[in-house]
Amino acid sequence: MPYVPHSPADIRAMLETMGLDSIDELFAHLPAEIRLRRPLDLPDGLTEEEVRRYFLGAARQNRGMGELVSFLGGGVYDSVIPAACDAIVSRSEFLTAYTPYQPEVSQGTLQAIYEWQSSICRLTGLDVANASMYDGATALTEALSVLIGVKRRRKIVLPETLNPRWRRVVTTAMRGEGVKIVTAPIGPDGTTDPADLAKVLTDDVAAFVIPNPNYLGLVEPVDELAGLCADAGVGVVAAVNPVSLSVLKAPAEYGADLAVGEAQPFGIPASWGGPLLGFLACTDQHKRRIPGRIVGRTKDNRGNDGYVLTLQTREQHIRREKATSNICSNQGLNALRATVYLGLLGAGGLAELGAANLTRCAALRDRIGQVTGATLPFAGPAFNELVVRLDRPAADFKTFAHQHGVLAGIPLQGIAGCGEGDLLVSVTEKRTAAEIDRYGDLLTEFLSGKEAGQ
Amino acid sequence: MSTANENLTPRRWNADLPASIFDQGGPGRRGLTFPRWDGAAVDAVLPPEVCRREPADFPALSEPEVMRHFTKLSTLNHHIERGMYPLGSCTMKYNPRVNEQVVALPGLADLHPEQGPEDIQGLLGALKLLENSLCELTGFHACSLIPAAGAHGEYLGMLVIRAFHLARADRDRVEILIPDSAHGTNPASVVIAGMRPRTIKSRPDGRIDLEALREAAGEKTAGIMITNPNTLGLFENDIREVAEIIHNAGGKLYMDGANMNAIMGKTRPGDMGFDVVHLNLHKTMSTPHGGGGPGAGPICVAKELAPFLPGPWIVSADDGGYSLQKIPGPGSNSIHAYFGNVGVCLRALAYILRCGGNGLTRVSECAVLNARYLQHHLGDILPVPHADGCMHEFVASGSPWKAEFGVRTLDIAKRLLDYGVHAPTIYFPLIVDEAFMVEPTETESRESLDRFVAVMRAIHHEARTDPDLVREAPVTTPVGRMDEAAAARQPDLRWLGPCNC
Repeated sequence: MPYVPHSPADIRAMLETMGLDSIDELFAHLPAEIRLRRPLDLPDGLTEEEVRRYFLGAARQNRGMGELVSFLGGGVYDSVIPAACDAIVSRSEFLTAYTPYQPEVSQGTLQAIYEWQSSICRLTGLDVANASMYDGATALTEALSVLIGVKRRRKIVLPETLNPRWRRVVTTAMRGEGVKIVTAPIGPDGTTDPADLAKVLTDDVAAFVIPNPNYLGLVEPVDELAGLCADAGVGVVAAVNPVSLSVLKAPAEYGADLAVGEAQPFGIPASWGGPLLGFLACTDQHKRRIPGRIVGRTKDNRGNDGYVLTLQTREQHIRREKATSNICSNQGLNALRATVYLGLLGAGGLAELGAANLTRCAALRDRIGQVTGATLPFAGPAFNELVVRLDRPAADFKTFAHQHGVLAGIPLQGIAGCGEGDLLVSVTEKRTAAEIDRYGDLLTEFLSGKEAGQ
Repeated sequence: MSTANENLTPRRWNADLPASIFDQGGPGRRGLTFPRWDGAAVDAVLPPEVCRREPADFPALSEPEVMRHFTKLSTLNHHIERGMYPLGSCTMKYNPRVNEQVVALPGLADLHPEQGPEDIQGLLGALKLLENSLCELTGFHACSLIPAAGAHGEYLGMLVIRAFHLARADRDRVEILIPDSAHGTNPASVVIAGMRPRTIKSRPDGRIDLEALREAAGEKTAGIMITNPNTLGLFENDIREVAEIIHNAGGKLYMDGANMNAIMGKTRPGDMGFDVVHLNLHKTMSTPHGGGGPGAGPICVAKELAPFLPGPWIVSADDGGYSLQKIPGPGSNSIHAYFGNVGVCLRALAYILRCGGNGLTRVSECAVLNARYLQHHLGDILPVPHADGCMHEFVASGSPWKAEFGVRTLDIAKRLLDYGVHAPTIYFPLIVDEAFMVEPTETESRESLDRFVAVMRAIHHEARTDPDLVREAPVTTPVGRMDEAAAARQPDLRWLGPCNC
């Protein structure tokens, strides 16, 4: 067993110092009736090279976004991953360190988290951010719980334009909390109609979620929606793609109480959806109610600046059954990736990244606009994804494009009022003009019925 | 002996905190650029009313500056490759490098979660292999890899138990019994899953009191949550009787598998009478802690609970391939946007394959051996109040140090930092006065264990002869003890200054 240093002689010698003859004596007190009387039915250990070969084989049976051209999004994107991110997170000092409960020997992790919190505050415009959450869906759930506690109301409103995967996670949690969910319907332009929202903002509603851009890629009328919520005393959670925040209005600018999102595009491998990087930020007034770890800057007993985990009385190891969240970890290494990424990017890079997504999306829109049989049902501004409506099943186009090495998008049937022909298509800073052009060609070929089988 | 003595001299940590990244760099610098693009300008695409008014203020740094900043930060951390981490209940073992290598492979790291079975047969095969391996290890029927952390596994386990009772219209079963020695997340997980924790007093050694259990179990009992071995590192010898009491009352048994690393190949939760267990892959299965995450907390369940696991389920087809079965509807117990921390699960599979069944058994044997070795050789200066049958960790009491030298457990822990050893877990569990919880793990060599014993003896000597030295520790670390009260009273949670960009 390669990761156990002891030789058989070491083990004998150690047992001897304790007056024991065999390892079995260490387990002799386990009740006989529950002992496993056979070896585990697992293969014997492999060499490192054999392990590597197994995974190389498994990886070869897959086709990732390095091989296929990806127009998939919906919360996770084919984004640039700088080598510096990989290099920093593979340093033992960060990789193999524990949660920074001993600040004297964890200043590296603590300062990095503080810089991550500061980054998220700057992006969202809000005052306080935590050290990260499992994913955007979890962050949203936790943000809603904060407002349910603050408002002491037992109902929330979710827009139909919210990521359906996130909605499912929220639904599970609200069932546990006994909180009722009401839906604000999607309007004809693909965003939430303020008039429809106004109808469901009754005085028992704790919170509303503004997804911006929403699941269909569209910019919501954030000021109107947030204004209605403010009038009704309803809390607002902004669910945002952080990449968009260099160009789109920041949550603080429309009065959101909390902002959450998925920061995977900041240097984190898609890895079939995990581990991801949820973030959660809030205004100053909620700072003692949000879940998760938080790092603060303070002084040590020598008078020097340093960092420490703080506001821990919120956490469940103190509050136990009175806790409103059971989360006691953060996605530390992924938050570090994102902090390195944002450090490389800087303000100039951030603006360029936002523009790169936005303008490529505009180019895709123009290209699709030229294709007969494809329409763009929603005219409003989009950030980096949009809905294409085909006059044939979107799932069939997905299959067709796949045969040509292209991941065409997410069929939307049954989501936010979308039909069989609707497809969610995403672009990132990685897509080239040639790839976008080719997407249009494939669409033309498919819709003109020239593809195989027609 | 000169090397041994040298080895026992605290030395100053030669590193200082760098300036905040927000206070570095200069205008016009950049560490990351994007491909040229000749397209429309932003203001041609977006109407001004949806645009951000104030740009976010970020520093401008080049790649070398960013690398140096984070590398400097890294030197301020204790980590496994620097020295021992005897952190009870946290299982800080060595994190094999091959795990990191394989998970970064193209074809695994670059899979989008909306890609279906046609693109991910290799991944699904690997995840199925992991599910099956964990089921064999725990003696269960089905596994969900989705929980992203141990607490997430607890949450899912509670949802599954609740769903089982609801499916039988057993609506009033809302009580989960929890021994008072349990981890704080246990009661929190029960509450957020919509049930009620009911604390049951444990015996002085933290083991379950069967009388108290019989009194508490009844028609309202949805189940019980038990850590086994418990938080004192002791095995629940009466576990079969506990199972009988709970099952007779109509409840289910949940095992917090935080300490599974003590019993692999020796006994299995399924054989003990449990119905659900979660495993912390970042503990037992060697995936890195990463300064707080990401980890993974898959659960394994008995057959009758399997229908309540969230989807998608990985299904093996007759042709050797795999498909994904969606579990629709509001009762789907969805707890993650996708399939949980897949990358962490793959690391765990690499570890399991490398160890094999024989190796995993050896892991538990040596985890227990190392803990017992330390317990034995420290017994005279660090008494263990509940010493019989400690497994992979033990909880000593620092109360004699407090009484004799006026040195608290916190002080011992901090002094260890000066010797290049991470502090153990202290003041948990609450049932031991001045608790000092040590878990060496199986990856420490005998020399490393001997050094820990020598360091503890050196600190004991200091406590006797110069207690202030211990009370003021640490003195060699980059910073001293932090003013935690001030940090909480006047929180400074983000960098406020402007950037030089």
